[in-house]
Amino acid sequence: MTSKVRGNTTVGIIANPASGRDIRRLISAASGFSIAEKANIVRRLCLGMRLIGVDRVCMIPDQSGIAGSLLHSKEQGIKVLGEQWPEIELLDMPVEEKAVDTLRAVDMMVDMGVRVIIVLGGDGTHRLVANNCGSIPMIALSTGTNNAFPHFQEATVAGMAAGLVAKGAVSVCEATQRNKVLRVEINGQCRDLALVDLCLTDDIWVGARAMWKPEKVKEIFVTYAESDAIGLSSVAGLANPIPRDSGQGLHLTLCPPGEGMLTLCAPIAPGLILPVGVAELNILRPHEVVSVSMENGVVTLDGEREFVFRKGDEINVWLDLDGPFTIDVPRVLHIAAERGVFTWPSPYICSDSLHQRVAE
Amino acid sequence: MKTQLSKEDLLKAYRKMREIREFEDRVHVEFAKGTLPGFVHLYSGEEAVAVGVCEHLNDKDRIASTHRGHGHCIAKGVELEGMMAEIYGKKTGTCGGKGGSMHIADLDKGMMGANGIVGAGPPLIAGASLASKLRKDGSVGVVFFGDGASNQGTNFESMNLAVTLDLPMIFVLENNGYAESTSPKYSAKVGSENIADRARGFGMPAVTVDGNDFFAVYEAAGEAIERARKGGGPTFIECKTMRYFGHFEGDAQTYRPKNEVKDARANDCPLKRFADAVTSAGLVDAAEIEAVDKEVLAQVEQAVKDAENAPQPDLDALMNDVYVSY
Repeated sequence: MTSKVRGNTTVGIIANPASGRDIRRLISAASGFSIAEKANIVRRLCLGMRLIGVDRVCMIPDQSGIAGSLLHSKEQGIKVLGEQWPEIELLDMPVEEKAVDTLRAVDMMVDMGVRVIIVLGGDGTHRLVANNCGSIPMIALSTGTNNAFPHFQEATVAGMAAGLVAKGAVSVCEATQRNKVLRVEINGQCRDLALVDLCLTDDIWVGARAMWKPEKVKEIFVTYAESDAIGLSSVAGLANPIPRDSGQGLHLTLCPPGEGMLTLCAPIAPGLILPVGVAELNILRPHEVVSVSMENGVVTLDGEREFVFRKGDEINVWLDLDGPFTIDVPRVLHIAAERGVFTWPSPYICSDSLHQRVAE
Repeated sequence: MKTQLSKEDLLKAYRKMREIREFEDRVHVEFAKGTLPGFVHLYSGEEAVAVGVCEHLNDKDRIASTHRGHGHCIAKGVELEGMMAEIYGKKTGTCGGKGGSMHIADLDKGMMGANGIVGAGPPLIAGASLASKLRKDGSVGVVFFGDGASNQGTNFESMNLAVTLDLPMIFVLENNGYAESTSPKYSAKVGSENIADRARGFGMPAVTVDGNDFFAVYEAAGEAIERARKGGGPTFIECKTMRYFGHFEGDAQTYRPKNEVKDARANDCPLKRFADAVTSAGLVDAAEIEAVDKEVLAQVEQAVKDAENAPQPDLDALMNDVYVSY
């Protein structure tokens, strides 16, 4: 039996080998995702997608071993366990082991017409994908440090959800949500975006990128602020929660603990809870441009120091409601279950071995 | 750890990196002329690692190096004039001209030696770090090693010992992409090609940083060294970097992509990145950077002249320092 829905379908996978291994392993109790575990997660995604009939997965290549381990797993899985896999295509692109790899891979996936992009990483990785993915929906899976944007989700199920959307068993409009972004413009040029938080620090270098010292942070902008968040957005989440789906954001000005309007104990990184003073707090409305008054410093996007600015640079920040789409995995599975997608016999299930088992 | 380096600090760090670059580039030229005895392995391209780490160390802290050890020596404070003479095999050399490139050591500076044996450094520093812990003097030990050495049993044993004894030890892996001529794709397949993952298996914090960015290395090393001084135990730092010359001088490098080094020199040079960062931020003037470049060039030129003119070691000193009495 073959899938009754959409024919040739390709899903893209961005697995960032660098996520979950920055300096916060040293200064906090952050977990680390090994390369082997990331490859294992991608394997489970592929098996979940193949069940629904996804024909092809195109994946970002890397020099750290995720893609290599995956191809080895595929060979072993087919030979030893009789697994069914989609075709795996590693994108033909140079690998620089830098953020540009992700941007380049997403561009190629968009050109190839992938239906869904699955992202393995933290807030920073998802931000990079969001820069270039346009209207292609993402499945956001957490393998990073501060995971305010992506979710912890079993990859097998996430793969099934990707397959259901890619094959059209559940439509995009039924199961996706649009996310807000913060856009930052420097000297009139739109420079970048943040999915969760944008901070201004008084650093003079980008350095090890991750930001974990609240005393260096002078201002925080957030798209949403959840009280159970981890990272710098937790300061906003504990001061004045803003739902992910609300039409506004928040702008905070910080001060030393004990000063200002309130002092909070905020989880800045996993296992790292520090006092943070808030001097001022303002609701951020869509397209309301805030001009940065600091003269020198670093702009931090979703927890990572990204670029230095200096006296004379004009920096503007604003909230944009038209950010990337993300797939709500539990909702997709819920809709699919209600439609009987997984009830035997199902025209949606593409697995010879399952058919054989039921037949036996 | 200093979070805002002064102009003096920044210029000092840049000078060290420039000293390493000029020293190595000059040794490359002199070796090609056939004027140097022995064998050399050059550190150009990896300067941000040695300097980013050693800027946090003092003379009581000890480091162990590799066959590619000139950069570590200079970063740790060994005088480059003595090093040049040592490489020339002259009496005025750091080790009296009898060690050569792969055995430069200066214990007064906490430099326990370059080492011709791949993977020999970790056990040495495990011992030095144990001494630091027992003496309670607040010193730490740092071992520099490469992706090839990361596969040696000595490294695994040292990681195990460092965690078991909670030693003030920092493992600095200089992953320059080649174990001699072999990519980690083939040489580091155990569980992962990302070598820091292995250290996590031993239960120590492990981070991966851009080894061509002085500030990234400086921050990670600063946190690790401070942690070690406070009794927090060992840390593993993987620095992704690149060497600009072959594994050894004379290496045809047929295993490397054609423009790899050319692209790295143009777009990812640690010195250029440092200079761009500090000048564009208005912390140091471009003229001050240029002045350092000129001074270091002259210093290396003089070091070569002095080394060429220095006497050979005396014949009757042949057996000196071969055996040490404890």
